[in-house]
Parts: sequence; structure tokens; C-alpha cells
Amino acid sequence: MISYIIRRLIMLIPVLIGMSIITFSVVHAIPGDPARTIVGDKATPAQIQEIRENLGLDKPAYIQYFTYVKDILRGDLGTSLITKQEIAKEIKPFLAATTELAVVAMLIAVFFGVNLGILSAWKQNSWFDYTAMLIALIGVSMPIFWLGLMEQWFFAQELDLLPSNGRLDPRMEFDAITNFYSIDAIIQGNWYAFQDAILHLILPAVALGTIPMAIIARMTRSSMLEVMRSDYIRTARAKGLGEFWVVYKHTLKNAFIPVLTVVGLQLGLLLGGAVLTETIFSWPGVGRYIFDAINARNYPVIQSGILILATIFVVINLIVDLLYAWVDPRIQYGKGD
Amino acid sequence: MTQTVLEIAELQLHFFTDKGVVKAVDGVSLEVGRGEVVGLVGESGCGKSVTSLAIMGLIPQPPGKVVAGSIQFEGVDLTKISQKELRKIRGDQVAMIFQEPMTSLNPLFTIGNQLIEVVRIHRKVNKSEARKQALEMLRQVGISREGILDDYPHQLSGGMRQRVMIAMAMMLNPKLLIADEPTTALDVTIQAQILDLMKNLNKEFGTSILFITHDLGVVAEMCDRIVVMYAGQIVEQTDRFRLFRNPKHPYTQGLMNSIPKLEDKRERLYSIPGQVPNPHQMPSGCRFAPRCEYVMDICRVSSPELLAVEEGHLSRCFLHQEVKEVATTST
Repeated sequence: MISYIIRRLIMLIPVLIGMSIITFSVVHAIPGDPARTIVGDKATPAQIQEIRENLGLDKPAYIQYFTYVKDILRGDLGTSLITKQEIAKEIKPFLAATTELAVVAMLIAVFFGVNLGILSAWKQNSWFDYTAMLIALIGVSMPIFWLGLMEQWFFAQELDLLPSNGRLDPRMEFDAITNFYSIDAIIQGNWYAFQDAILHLILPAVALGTIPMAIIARMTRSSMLEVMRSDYIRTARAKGLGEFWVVYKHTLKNAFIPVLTVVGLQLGLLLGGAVLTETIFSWPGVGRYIFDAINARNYPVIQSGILILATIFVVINLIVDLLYAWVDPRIQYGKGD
Repeated sequence: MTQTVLEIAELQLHFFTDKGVVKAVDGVSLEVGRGEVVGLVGESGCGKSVTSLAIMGLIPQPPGKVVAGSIQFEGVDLTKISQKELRKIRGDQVAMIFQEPMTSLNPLFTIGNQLIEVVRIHRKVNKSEARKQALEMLRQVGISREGILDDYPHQLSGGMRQRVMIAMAMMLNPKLLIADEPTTALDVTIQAQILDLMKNLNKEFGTSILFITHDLGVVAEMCDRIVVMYAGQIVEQTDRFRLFRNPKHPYTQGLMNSIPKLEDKRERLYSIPGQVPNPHQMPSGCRFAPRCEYVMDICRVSSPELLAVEEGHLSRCFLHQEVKEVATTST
């Protein structure tokens, strides 16, 4: 297993190099003089020169690239043009907000998706199966902004059950430590804040988790049905094993491998920041952070933001690959059958 | 034959599909005595595997359903009892091994896990005791390698996996072992080893075996008695010696002729002309009539009964039934 992990980590290096080249070219892909584009038409030559030096645009491209990589390796992601803050520091709370939301959304999606999928496959062609798959079909086709607005209208406005936006009641006094508000609240023993943070999470997490939930449910169902037809499931039944264990032990473990891929990909997408959901629910996440940077032509932020998101995506896929090897012993040995 | 372990009587098993009813098993009756090895022979699609799965209660329902007949195992009708009661018998008193050793073991669990599971489903024993039993059984089937219990199926060869499958089936010393083409997927030398192993287990433990195969060579090697099936029906049934010396049914004769012989100088190998009938459109008379070289007018209109041609030798063919009539009139 350890040699497999090391092998996978080594394979990560070319991916990361490729990624750094792409993010590096973001600034250079701007037509004309990037510095002029950044500061706008009315800038003085001195201002343009300042930006140029600031971004290192006056040096040859390969030197710029190596400086860029060196800075990243030191943890220096540059400075925001607007706030003049270090991006590495500035992005943290946004990243935490997005991660908290994405993880909760994914937990909802996995829990409901996997169980709906299992039960649908188990009771194939029953009314439960048809209903669950109809829900899943509606789920994948639902425009997420519309779902978000409907949730706000129904649960926040009509029923007044749940808060409609933000991460916490703005009147509440609260010190962020990790910026994962639910965790911070537990650390501080502030149960009122914990409850409030969770309540604020529900609507956006459900909106964000609906599509992955539907995809996972459909994937689980078809994967379960395929495994249920396999010879070793017949063997398990021939042993006299009860139906529950046939389904939850022998079938699920095998059926979960393709589902794991979907979960990994979807989590990567959610962590990439869901601009729509974050906008509708005024969630101060990384999606909105980068979106605002794009509107403001804040190039260093765009560049570093993309780099961070891409890195997260790659790391999650690495974790999924390692989980494969853990679930399926055939993978580690590098030969399947 | 002293005592009967399994007695199938007039079994009718139908599949209810969108295209209509498929009578996969149509009035099959057979017996397996204690310690006896019975061969069930026929081409693919003749209903032999379905019969064996019906004994295990492993026919998916729907679309499959036993519509008539009974499967008596040790005096209990397996078609009448609940799934729960059936599960108690399955794996414990009746065990089964399958054609495909490569895919019949769960790839994600160790050999040990899968062997121990059988014991722990049916007996109240702790893990270490079950482990001991598993190791002992593996030794019986010829695997005594250290650490085998922690191996995964993909680390074993096909022959080894089939040995593991046999060990799994024999774990609780079942009264009846159903072997559905257990050697078909293996190469010839391994085939011989597995057959030897099964013969030994049959002798040592007195386990009755219902051996399903399309390979007459294997039948000659293994079986005391042979049941030949065609298109969901039994066409001939007798002991090994009679069947090979004096096959009565034209289908059985065809099967025998399909075995290549060394002294035969023909360029083409013999095969029975035509194909197994479409289960949705069975011939109205004898089901073998369209492929039979001795076909008569009567064969196309009415179906022959399975009748004794001599003592302990049944055949479903008008040929001998007429011969018999002629014989009785001449005396």
C-alpha cells in the first residue's frame, strides 16, 4: 500500500507542473499589454510601469515562470490589486466557508443518494424504485438557482423556519478560529452559535447537494443492479446468506467503486466554489471571491484562486484513487481481471 | 441405491417473460441416492442448470416460478418451504459449485473471510474455530499453503479458485453437492485433478453429487447414473454402463457420435444437425423431431412418454416403444 501511495504521489508531479504552467499563462493570455488592461485606459505610464514591475512583466517569460513557481513553493500567492492584502491570507476564510458548505452538501448527497440507489436496486421495478428514480431525474435536471430561490421562498419566507442567507445571524458576536463556523462554535462551546451555523447551512447545502445526490442515486442503482447479477452474489446466496448481508456486504462493497469516482468528482466540483449557490445564499465562499475578482480584473487573485482550486481538485482525485486501492485489493498489485 | 437424498417429481418451472411463457423445465423427475453421483447431461439451454438452481431456490422470482411438481430433499419439499427455511438448508445440507471459478468468488473479500462466512451463517462458532475448520477443509481439497486464508481470489489460479469453491461447498459436510459444470472453464490437466478430488470427497464423506455437464467424457469418469435432458425434458435415463454401451434415444446417440474418435478418418467432425428449439416455439410433437435422423410421422404430431425400454433404462422415443409393441406381439 505504501509503495502504491508513493507511486501515486510521484505521478502527481507532472500534473502539478502542467497546472502551474496553465495558471501562469492566465495573465499572459490577456491580449495586448496585461498591465494596461489591468489598470485601464486612463492610467498614467508610471502606473502601468508600476504594475508591470509588480507582476514582473518586464522580465523574460521563463524567468517570470520560475519566479512564480518559487513564490508558490514559499507559500506566496501574490497580492490582491484591490485590497493590497496577501492572497494566501485573504482567501482562507472564503476557502473555509466553501469547504464547510461543500462537505455538508456532499454528506447529504452521499447519505440520501447511496441509500436511495440501494433500495431502488433492491426493490427494482417497484413503486419505490420508480418514485426514487423520478426524484433523481428531477434532481439532475433542476436548475440550481431556481431550487435555491424556491427554498428561500418556501422555508425562509413562507414557513419562516430557516435563515435564508449568510453563515450566521449578523447580530451574533463570534470569533472565527478555523473559519469553519460549526467547528469554531464547538471549540468555543458556543452551542447557540453552533445551532445557528447549522441552520444557516441547511438550505444552501440542500440546494448544492441535490444534483450530486441525484447523480449518486442513479449511479448506485445501476452499479448495484450490475453487481447483483454477478456470479459471486449467486455464490453468496448459495451459502445461505440472508438478503440483507447479500446486499450490504457482498453487493455494496463492489458496487461502491464506481460511485466513489462520482463522489470524488462531484466533491471536487463543489469545492471549486458554486458561484450560483453562493450568490443566492450570500455565502462568502471562494466561488464568489474569484467571481468578484474576475469582475474587478484582479488578475493575481484569479491566478492564485484557480491554482488553489485546481490543486484541491487534483488532491481529491488522488484521495479517491487511494480509496480505490483500499477498497479493491486488485488495484494495488497493478493487475485487474 | 439404499436411500434417496433428493427426489424431484414432475417438476415444471416456467419463466414468465414479455414474449410469453418459457417452459424451461417441463416435467422433470429424477432421484439422487445417498452417496450416489448422478450426471445431468445436455446441450446448453436444455434446462439442466435451471433444474439445479431450482433445487437451491436460486431462480429469480419473478420471472421464474415452479408451477407444478415437487423437490423432496430428505423428506422436505423445497418448493413449499419459506425462503428463511430454505436459507437454513442452503450452504449447509445442500451446497453448490459453479462453472466459473474466476467470477464465483467475491473479489473484494479474502478467501478466509468467504470460507468462514459459511460456517458462521449456519453454526454458532467463534472466528478462530471457524478459521481452523476452513484451514482443515482447504487441506482436504489439496491446498495447504500457509497464509492462503489472507489471500484474495485474484491471487489464485482458476484451478485453485475452484478448489476453494469446493472447500466452501464442503465446509459443513453437505448431504448433497450440486456441481454445475465445475470443470468446463478449466484446462484439461486441472480438470482431471478437480474430478479426482470430487470423486475422493464423494467416497470419503459419502456426499451425493448431482453433476451437471455437457461433457460425456466427464460423465463416464464420474457418474453412477446419467440423466440426459433435451429442451426442458428428460429424454433418457440409465446407469453409466448401459448408456455408453447401448444408448437408446437418438439424441443421446447423437451426443455420443459428437465425441471425436481417433480411429475416425472423417475430415469433418460429427454434430447433431439443427439447433436446440426456440423455447418460445417448441415443436408440437417430439421436441427432438426436427433434428432426428429416425423421425417418423407420429413424432411430428404427438409427444412420446418417458418409458422403460429395459429394466432401469428409460427413454422418450417412439422408436423403442414401437419395437417393444412388435416384440410383445411376436411372442
